[in-house]
Amino acid sequence: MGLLISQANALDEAYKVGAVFSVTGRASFLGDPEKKTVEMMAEKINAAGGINGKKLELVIYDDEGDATKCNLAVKKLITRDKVCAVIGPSLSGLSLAVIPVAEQNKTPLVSCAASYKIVHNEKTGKPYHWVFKTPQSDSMAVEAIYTHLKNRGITKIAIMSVTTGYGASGRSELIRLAPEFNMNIIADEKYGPKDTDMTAQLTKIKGMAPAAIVNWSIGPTQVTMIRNWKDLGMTAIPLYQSHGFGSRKNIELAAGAAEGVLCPLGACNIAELLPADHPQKSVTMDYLKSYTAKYNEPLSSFGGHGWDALQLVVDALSAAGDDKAAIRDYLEKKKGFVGQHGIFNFSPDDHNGLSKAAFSMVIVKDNDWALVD
Amino acid sequence: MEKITLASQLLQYLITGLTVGSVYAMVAVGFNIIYNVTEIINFAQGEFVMLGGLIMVFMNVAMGLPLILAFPATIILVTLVGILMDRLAIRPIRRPSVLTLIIATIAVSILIKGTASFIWGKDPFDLPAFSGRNPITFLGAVVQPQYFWVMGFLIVTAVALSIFFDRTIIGKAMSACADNPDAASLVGINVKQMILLSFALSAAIGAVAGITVTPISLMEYDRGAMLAVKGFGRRF
Repeated sequence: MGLLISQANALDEAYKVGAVFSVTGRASFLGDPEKKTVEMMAEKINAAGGINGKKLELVIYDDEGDATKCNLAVKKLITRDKVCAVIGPSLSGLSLAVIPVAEQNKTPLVSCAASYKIVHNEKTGKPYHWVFKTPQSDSMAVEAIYTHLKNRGITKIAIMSVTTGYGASGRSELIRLAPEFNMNIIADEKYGPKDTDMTAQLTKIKGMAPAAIVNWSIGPTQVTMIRNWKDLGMTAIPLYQSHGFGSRKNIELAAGAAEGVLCPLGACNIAELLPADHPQKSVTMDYLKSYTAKYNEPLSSFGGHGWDALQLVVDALSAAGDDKAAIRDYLEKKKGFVGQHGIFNFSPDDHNGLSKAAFSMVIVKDNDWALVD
Repeated sequence: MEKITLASQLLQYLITGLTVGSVYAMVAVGFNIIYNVTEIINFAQGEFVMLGGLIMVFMNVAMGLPLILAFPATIILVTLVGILMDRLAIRPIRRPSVLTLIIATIAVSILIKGTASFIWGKDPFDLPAFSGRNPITFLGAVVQPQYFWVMGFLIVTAVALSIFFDRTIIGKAMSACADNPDAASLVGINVKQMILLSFALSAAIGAVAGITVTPISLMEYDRGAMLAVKGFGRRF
């Protein structure tokens, strides 16, 4: 009898955290590594005794990249599963759709999506009270690229972008931030996500002779355009890719044409390249080793966003217990959090906590990454 | 770096237009064959192209077969898919109207795409170019040698097909089916077999398009739809 009661008590002794990721569907390249990462982390934490002796219980739902399913999943997590915090969603559009749910139910939400609008309420100009995000905004990637160009004394650039949401967002940031860095955009070319060839756009750019090209796309087009760039003999014009380029697979697919291409990457993508005294070195190397050992697949940049989100919540639980308001306050005050994608410094005005310093400039050398200062 | 002349730019646009256009023209040829025989638009045509590319990747890269063996093997496999499509999705339809059949082809394309994403995942795949990757330059314009393979296969296919449809009995039988299937069967043409043949041929040609294009622009599970839409536009 006593055993039954103590068992019932043991079941209450767990911290319940909810997660919604796009594990299947069009955004599975985001949600799948995110899910794998948080499951791996929860296993590790519980094996080491949990959080202050309490088990970490993760409830993960798959929204399949669909806004309705995502909305339902978040509602379910909060009202039925009674979680103390939610991490995810993986997509910007879906995150924006569930912000009202988090706000109404006064539950902290740590999104793994990139749009700055997630932590910026256009009407008030301030972040939403209960919502945070871990990925860098694309404006920071643009700032990192522009800073590098400025230091090289380049002002005349051409930009190319894919016509998806990702490309359009990057393009608008490139245009918006250009005056600040003295960038003169002399060509602004676009292409579709399933286009097979960008030679026409690049020929036009070649004719205008810019000092550098910045390309904003994700998917096979970012590789195809590199091949075209090389074929047209334009390798004398430095090519900068977006942070969506961050996978060794892309270098491989470019079939030797990627030599000399630059891109901004978060630390977890280049863990092995970081110097030993880099503040993120041990955290990123640890993640790299555990993930590749457990799942036998290369590290994904996006899994890192999941890592950052869950670890933040775990730190909050460890310090403040599972009162939702306490978790929220803890997150908002958190400074110097060493994550996969940067060192976070949150504040009431900044629920993302990152700056362009979260990106390191990387160049492709000998078919692998190399740091460039 | 040297500024290129307007003439070179124009030449480059012309060449790029021809080469990229020939990719979609190959897809269009596949549409035409099935349409010529059955009057239906085969919305799964793009998927044959995609399968050609991905199966070739499997044969050449994963199984290590040399190009000369992998090429025909891939075509045979994709042709089989085309035959299966006719037997399982087209032929069994009781009262085939053009609209019903078109919807059937859409269903098949979704099925093929889903299966492909299951087998190969969502990543793009690459194939080694048939004759290397050194671009050929002339008069300031540049072209990948692989494009000559695409154009070459297109010309060979187009010539072979026009001879087939105009000068052989089977070819004429296939055209007759499009004109008037009832009259065709009255004169002893096995209409169902002609339809089967049209799907097989279209699948084979789609596969050739996929195999020759993948070294240029990679191939992934959902490339089919866009190739089909643009290829369809080139029918007219």
